[in-house]
Amino acid sequence: MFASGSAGHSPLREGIKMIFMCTSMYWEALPFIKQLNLKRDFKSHKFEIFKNEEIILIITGIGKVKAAVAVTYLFSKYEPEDSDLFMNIGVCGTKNRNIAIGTAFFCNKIIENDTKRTFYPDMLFKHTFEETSVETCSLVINKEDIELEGQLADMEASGIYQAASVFLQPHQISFIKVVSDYLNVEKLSKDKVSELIEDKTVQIISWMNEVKLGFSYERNILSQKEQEILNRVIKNLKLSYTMGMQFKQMVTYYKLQYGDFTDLISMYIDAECGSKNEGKRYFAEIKQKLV
Amino acid sequence: MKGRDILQKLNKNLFNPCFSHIYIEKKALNHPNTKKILEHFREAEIIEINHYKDVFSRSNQNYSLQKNSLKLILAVKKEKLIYNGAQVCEDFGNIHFYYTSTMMNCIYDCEYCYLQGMYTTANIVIFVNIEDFFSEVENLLREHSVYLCISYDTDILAFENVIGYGRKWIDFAKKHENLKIEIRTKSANFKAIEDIDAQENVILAWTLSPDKVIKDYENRTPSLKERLLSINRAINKGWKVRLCFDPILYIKGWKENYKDLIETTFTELPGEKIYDVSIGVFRVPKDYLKIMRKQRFNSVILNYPFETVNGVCSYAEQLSENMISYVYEITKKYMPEEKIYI
Repeated sequence: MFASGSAGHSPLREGIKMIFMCTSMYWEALPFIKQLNLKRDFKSHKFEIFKNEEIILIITGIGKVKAAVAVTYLFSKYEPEDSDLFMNIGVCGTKNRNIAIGTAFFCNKIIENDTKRTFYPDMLFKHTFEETSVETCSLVINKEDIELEGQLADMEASGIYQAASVFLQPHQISFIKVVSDYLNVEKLSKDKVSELIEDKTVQIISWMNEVKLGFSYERNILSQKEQEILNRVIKNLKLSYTMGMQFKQMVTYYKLQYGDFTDLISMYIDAECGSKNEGKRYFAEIKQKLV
Repeated sequence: MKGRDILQKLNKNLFNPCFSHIYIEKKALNHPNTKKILEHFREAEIIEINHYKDVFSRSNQNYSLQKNSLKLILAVKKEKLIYNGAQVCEDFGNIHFYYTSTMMNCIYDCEYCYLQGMYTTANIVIFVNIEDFFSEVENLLREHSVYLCISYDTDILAFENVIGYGRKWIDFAKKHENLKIEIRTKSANFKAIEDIDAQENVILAWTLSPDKVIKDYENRTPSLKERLLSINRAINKGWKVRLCFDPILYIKGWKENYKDLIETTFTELPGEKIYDVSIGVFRVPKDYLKIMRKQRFNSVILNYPFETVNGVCSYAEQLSENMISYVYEITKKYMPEEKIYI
């Protein structure tokens, strides 16, 4: 479970599913840093990064451009995989006074205020939050001078989504926003930000745990060792690029259909072909065996 | 342990139920069909969108994961509504062969389905403005007769209880003698249109597969027995029924499986009352297969080392011929040759 995360000295990418997080301000990150025992990564100089073995959190700074740059920096530094998850957590404003301060929302629609472009994270996973839309504005806003289509208003979500979607599939990207104000941010203190997020930290971590435990997959049919064997056979038999690809496809099929294939091709692992024609003969032989 | 057994760990309870979210184009919000559809999904989260492609065409979507939690997209389609029939599809001797998609994607989850190579998402689109599709067909009908397949890129009958498009198309066909429509399905949902009188110019086409294929590769579809019961009811009501043994898949024991399929089919159904039969092996455009393999990386069906001829991937010529002639020879015992299309 994440709550027991330790100092984060072990290597991060060794088949462990990662949860990537981002907040725009340190004060939004603080409850997670404490709860998950995240440690500062002093190797990161451009942005503040905190991590343990399973979680990497980046503080993006305020505004959608900074946020997009930070997310790009994060995923360039730590390449995400298909079963990893990424979430943006932060406070937001709303014009709607029927929404209580402190309410946490899962965002199913992001509207970019400047361009009116819209983005939709894939809502595949169950969660325990209310859902709504968030509109990303370029400047701090007050309720008098702006028209909002989104229920919530923030300054990062559209930038984060656009950057993250270069690296991730839309179901891997989530936004949880906690309402902090009715577009009157001057009254919002740093401590209040931390307090609002802290109230939802357990709920958020519990959701992260649930998804993490229930969902993972490995996309490679052939192991690293098997790939090496195939490459050796391709080299030994002097197979062309196309024949090499066909060979790999046949082996993949065989493994899915029947299981282990190494016995069938073991005699070719150390075979040395004098010519391409000889290789072709072997290739035809292998095809007979595998398909 | 086979490769496909070691790859995935998915807790199905993790997923939102299908149609937990409905995306609706602003211009579709007030359409009567939208209101009708929403009556079936009162608990759904409604999300307004500008254009269906904003959701449908997002890059990098995971088709096979989305099948665990399908979403519905309601839209108004204004551009091209009717397409010329594709070359890889059987025209059954009809000259003016077209198809149309008032819906895109399907509630079923067939491992070999070409839609996962054709569309970027598994989510289902319903174009609520079916009246515009009718108008475009009427324009064509002023020029010549039309043979129109309305359930290729979807399964309209499987969704009949929600939107009733099968019924609407049948009513439309009733008014146009020079229109012939085919409604293709894997469902067992004839009961949804049972009260309608059989139409001379409507063909109900059922795709039939061996039970092993249904169980292993046609997730969520009705069993062969259920499909045959549904077909029998359609025949008894006087409907023209087409049987599609297509795609035939090269699986372990394919001969026994397809022999059983055909024998069971014609034990349960009166051959003399079947309108026609089509037979075909699995085939798919090369570009689609590439995407399909990426989406279903552990599929034994899709990872078969197919051969590519003119951009279409299928089994090697000799194997394809063997499979087709084997199925043809058995089918021939029950159906006159002129009613069997290959």
